[in-house]
Amino acid sequence: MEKEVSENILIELKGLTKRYGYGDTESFALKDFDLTIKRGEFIMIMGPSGCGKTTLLNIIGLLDRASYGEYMLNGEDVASISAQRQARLRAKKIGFIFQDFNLIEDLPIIENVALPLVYTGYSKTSRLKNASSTLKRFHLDEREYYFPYQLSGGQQQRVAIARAIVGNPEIILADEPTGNLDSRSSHIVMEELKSIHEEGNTIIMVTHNPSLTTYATRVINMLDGQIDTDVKTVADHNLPQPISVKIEKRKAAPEVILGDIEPTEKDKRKKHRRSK
Amino acid sequence: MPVLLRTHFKLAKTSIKENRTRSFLTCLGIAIGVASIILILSLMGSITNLIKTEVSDIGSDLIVVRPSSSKSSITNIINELTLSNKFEQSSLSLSDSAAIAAMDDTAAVAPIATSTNTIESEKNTFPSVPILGTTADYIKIEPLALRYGTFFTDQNKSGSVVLGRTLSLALFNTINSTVGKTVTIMGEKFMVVGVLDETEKSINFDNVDLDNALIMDIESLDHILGSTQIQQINIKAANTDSLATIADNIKSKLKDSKSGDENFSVAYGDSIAHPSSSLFVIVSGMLALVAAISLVVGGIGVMNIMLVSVAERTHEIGIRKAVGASSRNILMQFLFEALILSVLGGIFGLLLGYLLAFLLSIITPFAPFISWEIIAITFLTTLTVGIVFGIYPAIKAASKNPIESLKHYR
Repeated sequence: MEKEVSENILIELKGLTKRYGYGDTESFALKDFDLTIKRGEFIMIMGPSGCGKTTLLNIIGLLDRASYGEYMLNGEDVASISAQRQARLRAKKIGFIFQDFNLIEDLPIIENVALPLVYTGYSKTSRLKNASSTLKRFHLDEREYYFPYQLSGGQQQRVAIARAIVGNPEIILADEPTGNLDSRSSHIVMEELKSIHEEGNTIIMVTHNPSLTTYATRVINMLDGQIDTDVKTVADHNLPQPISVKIEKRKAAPEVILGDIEPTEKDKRKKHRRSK
Repeated sequence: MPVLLRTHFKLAKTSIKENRTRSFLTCLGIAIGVASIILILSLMGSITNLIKTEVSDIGSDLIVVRPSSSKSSITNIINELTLSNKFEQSSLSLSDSAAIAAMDDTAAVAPIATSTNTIESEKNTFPSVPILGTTADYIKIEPLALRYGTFFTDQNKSGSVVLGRTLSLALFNTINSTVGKTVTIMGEKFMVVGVLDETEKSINFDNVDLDNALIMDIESLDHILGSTQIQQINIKAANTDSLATIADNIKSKLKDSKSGDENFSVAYGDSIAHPSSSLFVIVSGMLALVAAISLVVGGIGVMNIMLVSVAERTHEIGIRKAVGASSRNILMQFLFEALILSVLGGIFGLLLGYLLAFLLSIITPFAPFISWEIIAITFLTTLTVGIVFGIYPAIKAASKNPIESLKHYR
């Protein structure tokens, strides 16, 4: 039982501190921040501007590094790994959703969705197949070759969500995903996130909108780089769990049909050496 | 990795296509540099080829002795140019030529001295006409066709000259009644005994444009000028089988007569074709340098446009990094774009250069000269230019902070 619980811990932050500037100009975006996140949680982080929400999200998403402190992802210390390895983890385990969508304007939406797969080594055909089936889920399959500027804000955000989940990541980080949307589009986007969460994905979302907290299983209020309040609205055992079973199920019948990863030359050589 | 490379290639293609005008102009910069290099290499190649064919036309029995050190290093060439060698005594003399002529191995010996002087005829006066001083053996070595009259012989050599076709036209406005008339050089009168037929090649291993030249006996030239500089000695070997042995014999004979100084070179076969004038080497080297400079300028154009592209696409770099691109991925993406730009420019330049060389060949005797070496040099050069000038923008792109880049608005 003990073991199962620890297996369910996805992210463990201990004493995380992010400092900007030195001496007089010294300020802390995060100060001695501790947080444990379990698989299947839907966390909403709220708080006033400048309380460190986005910094926290960036550090969890391996886009930024803490000044000091511990960050365990899946039991692996990732606080001080190389930038190269951070990039690989970002490609495989983390999906980002931004307030202003951040789609590449020059690429059709299907290629925008397929973007994370480029860096995980999928062939072009399997990239497009996966992107296509993911877009279908968001009812955007008829607009695969539209460009982002031809879509409405809500549609663009759904493309961005498709991009975030196309590689089947374990963590989805959303930074005010509804901040630029009207209430109708917000609702649709939140429903999509909810259904993704119900499949067993862990979602960490930053928002300013208190009415959205109904979707969350846990609401964290931040103040000055520290946790002010931390409320779990759903008990741990009621989380979309057991996630291990869900993962097995997902593996058996994947939501998204992923093609084979073409082994890199290096891997081939490694295999060859091993077989010797 | 191969998948990624293909993706980088595709990305670069898209980006180049999207900024068509800008990419075209950048390519043009590289293309002009490459085209000028191609043009110069092609010209140099075709000149060497021309001389080569001439040497093989003359036959395989030609040996050429030239002054200066046998080890012709770059410092020698520079010395020759800078020490104003016009006033320097050529290391070859008429007695050397006589010594070679006395050898059994040689069938004909023609020393060649050149000068320029004013020539007067009954009708016209021309300054700076090239004058070639040689012996009657000259016609035995070089297959010269005479349109009218004969070449001078050992008997009538002292008062006779042979005119090139263009010179004859210039002096007497005719070629068919020139024979028998007189020309005056530095107050001395000479009779025209022959007019040359038009020569097909304006470049030869003697370095003389025979169409415009006056040919006269070398001793007479020596007499009217006071002294002559022998530029080379052309030798027809008695038999073709042992050219190397004969060349060696000539070498040792000359060494003896010069009391051990080896300040000359003996060439036969293809090595004659090696452009005889050091000036030619220097000039073409300088031209190549200028062309290389224009290639560098083209490279700077590539760097410039890549820097613009990196700045414009900062937001895209941020997105790519956020979805999992490593710095190396970004570096490769932008390096590839620079490489494609410069190699594309290289291909344009190759075509442009040969087009120019072809156009030049219509008005000059230089046929375009194509070899795989030239193409390989072009390809390697453009590749190098692409890497050298593409690496800095690529590093700049790769080192961008993803968070800052995401904030950067398109």
